[in-house]
Amino acid sequence: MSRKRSWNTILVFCILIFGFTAATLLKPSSEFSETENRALAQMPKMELESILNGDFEADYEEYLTDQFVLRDAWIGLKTASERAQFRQESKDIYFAEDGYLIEKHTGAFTSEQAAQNQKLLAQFCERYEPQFGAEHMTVMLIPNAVDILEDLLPPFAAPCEQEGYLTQVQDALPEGVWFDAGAVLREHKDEELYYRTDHHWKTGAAFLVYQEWAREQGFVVPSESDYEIRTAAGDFEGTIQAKLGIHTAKDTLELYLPKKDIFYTMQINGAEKISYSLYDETALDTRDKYAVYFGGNQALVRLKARTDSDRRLLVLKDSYAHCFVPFALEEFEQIDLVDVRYYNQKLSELIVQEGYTDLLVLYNAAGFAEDVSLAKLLG
Amino acid sequence: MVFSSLLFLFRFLPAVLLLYYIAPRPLRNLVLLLFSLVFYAWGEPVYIVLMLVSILVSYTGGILVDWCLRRHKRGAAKAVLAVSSVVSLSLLGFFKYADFVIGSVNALTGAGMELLQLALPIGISFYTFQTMSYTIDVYRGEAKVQKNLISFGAYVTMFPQLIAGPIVQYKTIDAQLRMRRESAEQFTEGIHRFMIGLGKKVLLANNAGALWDKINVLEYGSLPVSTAWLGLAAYTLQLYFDFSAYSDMAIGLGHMFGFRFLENFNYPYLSKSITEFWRRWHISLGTWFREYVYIPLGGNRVTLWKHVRNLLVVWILTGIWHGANWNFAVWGLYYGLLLLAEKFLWGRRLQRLPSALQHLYCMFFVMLGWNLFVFDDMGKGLSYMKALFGLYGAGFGNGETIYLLYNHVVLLLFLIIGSTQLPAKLGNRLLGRLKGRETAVTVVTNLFYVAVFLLSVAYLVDASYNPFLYFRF
Repeated sequence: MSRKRSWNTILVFCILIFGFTAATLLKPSSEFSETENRALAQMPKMELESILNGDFEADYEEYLTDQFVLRDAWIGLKTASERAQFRQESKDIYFAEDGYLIEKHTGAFTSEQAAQNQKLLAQFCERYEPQFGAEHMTVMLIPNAVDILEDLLPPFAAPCEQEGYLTQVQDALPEGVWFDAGAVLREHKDEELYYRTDHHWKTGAAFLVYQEWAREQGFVVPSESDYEIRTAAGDFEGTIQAKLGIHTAKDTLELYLPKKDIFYTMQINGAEKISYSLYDETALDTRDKYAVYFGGNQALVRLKARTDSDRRLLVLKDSYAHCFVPFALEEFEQIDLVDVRYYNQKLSELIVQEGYTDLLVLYNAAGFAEDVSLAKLLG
Repeated sequence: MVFSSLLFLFRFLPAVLLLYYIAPRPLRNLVLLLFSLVFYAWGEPVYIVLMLVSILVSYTGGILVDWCLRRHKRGAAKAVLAVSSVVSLSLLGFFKYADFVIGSVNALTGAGMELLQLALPIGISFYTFQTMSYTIDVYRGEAKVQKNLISFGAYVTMFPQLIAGPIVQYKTIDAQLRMRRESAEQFTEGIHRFMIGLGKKVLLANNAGALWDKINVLEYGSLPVSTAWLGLAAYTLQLYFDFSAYSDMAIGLGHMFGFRFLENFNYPYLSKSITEFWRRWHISLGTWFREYVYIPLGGNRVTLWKHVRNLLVVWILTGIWHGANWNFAVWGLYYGLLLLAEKFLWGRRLQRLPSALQHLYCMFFVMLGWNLFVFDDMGKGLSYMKALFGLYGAGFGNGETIYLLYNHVVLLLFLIIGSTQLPAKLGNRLLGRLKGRETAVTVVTNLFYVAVFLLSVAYLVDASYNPFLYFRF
């Protein structure tokens, strides 16, 4: 090897090693990753004790990885390389047909947590059945895309264990409480039910399920023509896209705005925020566009509508309920949405205090199976 | 610390390179020593004391042995050597094997002694063997005594080979420790070798490991034969790429600091017999056991039964060196028996087979060997072996087999081709064609290594799986 060639190589090597080192040192730390929707690790404090027991070292490496320059681009490069190898999945996400990115939820339904959550929910329903009556209680766990959109998965992809789990949940509940949202969705599986790049269901899918539920509950069954369906965002890239860092498809986010006027107020977490619209339009300018509903996850959202009804609904839910509940506005004089992951008061006290007449439990199936806070249902 | 981490690439490596090359020549071993200590202490500082003790024992051992030899007191020298070896082996024995012994005694007698639950000091098996080889070689007159504690410390702790080898014998780098000339050519050689190792580890070994993990978590009882073999093949390839990548990176880093370590792997999966396999796999370990155990025991220049005994002793020790567990002893014995069989039973006949069959024979036993190796729990190992031979009646393959195969086909091709000489040959042919066109050669080689580097960084930034297999040895 000639000397000149050696120096060329050494130069390239030094640019890589020292260049990235300098870049990582100069780049100011970010607090939060909008793409990944999570707080990033910060520079840990240097203390003798944490150095000796290895905590500092572990935290420092996490900090370095989280704050690495061009983090999103690296993640995208990795995913692109996996796709170039004809991989049908990356990080437990299928590259499905029609541009769908579909989470596998491997193991979510067979875990101990899943079994325990199923028991907690059954106990909760048994406890409150005498008070509400089964006809005023509904549990709906919305199947995830991997279940409903099975036909779009890559050939020979392993079947998901979700359906079996949901049957177990249903069997453990008191008679008449379970609402089979999966059956409704399966009937419409060729329509746009889920976002291609986000883990939520689309508002249209929620509307289909609401229609069926309203019919069963004896509510007014709305039709699409009662709403102005407005595309609030046409360039939505959601949480699943963020995990992969590549750009596949862009989603549209539709809002169903009732044509007739409904008057209501919305209180978020007590008096923290009072508003006359469910929708937080500022979220549409951020990455997390699904937060247009209620401004994202809140511990307690209270909706009070001007209506003839004197029924009061408690919704125990995750974010899948956000695009569903607005359809029920006029059926109840009060709807409280409680997210037990964030709600730190006693649920039993709230139930006594507010005198609810109806109860709805609405989660996505995987979210429910993996939730670690459901013990609070019995609190 | 491991080489395949952002911390190493973008904190440690630039710092050590910078200071090493700024420092005047007499201080360079000191720079290496200090950085190596930081490298070792990162994440587990306590055991650094143990390593320092081990260094001091063999350092003084070497000086005393040399002192005695100079005064022609061979007996005294032997005594010193014995003491220093016993101390070194006791440290290794205590920290690596205490729980194994206690557990085995408990299992045999039901004594119910409590386990010590000591964390295994990283690299202890490697550095103990290095320090022992030094004192022994001084005694044998094969190595010069090293009176400079800093140079000796730098030898033992030298971060490129500290935690996973190759096991560098002191006599092979004595001259380099005293006087070495770093050069741009050697540094470049080091860069190339390091990049190859990094790519092999991050892009190939880790992904092969992820495939093995995917299959290993499945229910063995319903594992079709072909899926079981696919899993074992993935582990077989992971182990080679993981370990040989580490040696590549070690050798490459050595070059960057002007050292030449001996090769540790020579395409082991191209072997046509188990005997050949062990000449190509983890060469520095095989050499160590040959020089310090097998030959001192008499090697093959003894009666037949002693020769057999020597081989079995060496191979059971080799097995146990890999881990404090019965499966490793069995794995070592397995190879001891296979080597004996090749020596005395079917070695000649094997050579007359078509070479494809010889390869098949060798890989079959090597893979079964890894089946013993990978499961600490021998019951689990046997269950997996049952799946390999279809004893559960789970069929030959299913949809999942097809899914796993076509998802990993490119990876598997890279892995299989990568364990042969083909890539090196192709690379050389390409460079040969570009001969005389300096710029073209520079551009092509640099582009290749930059691409490998950038892809590896991408996999490290987004790391969900980056274990290091030889860490526990």
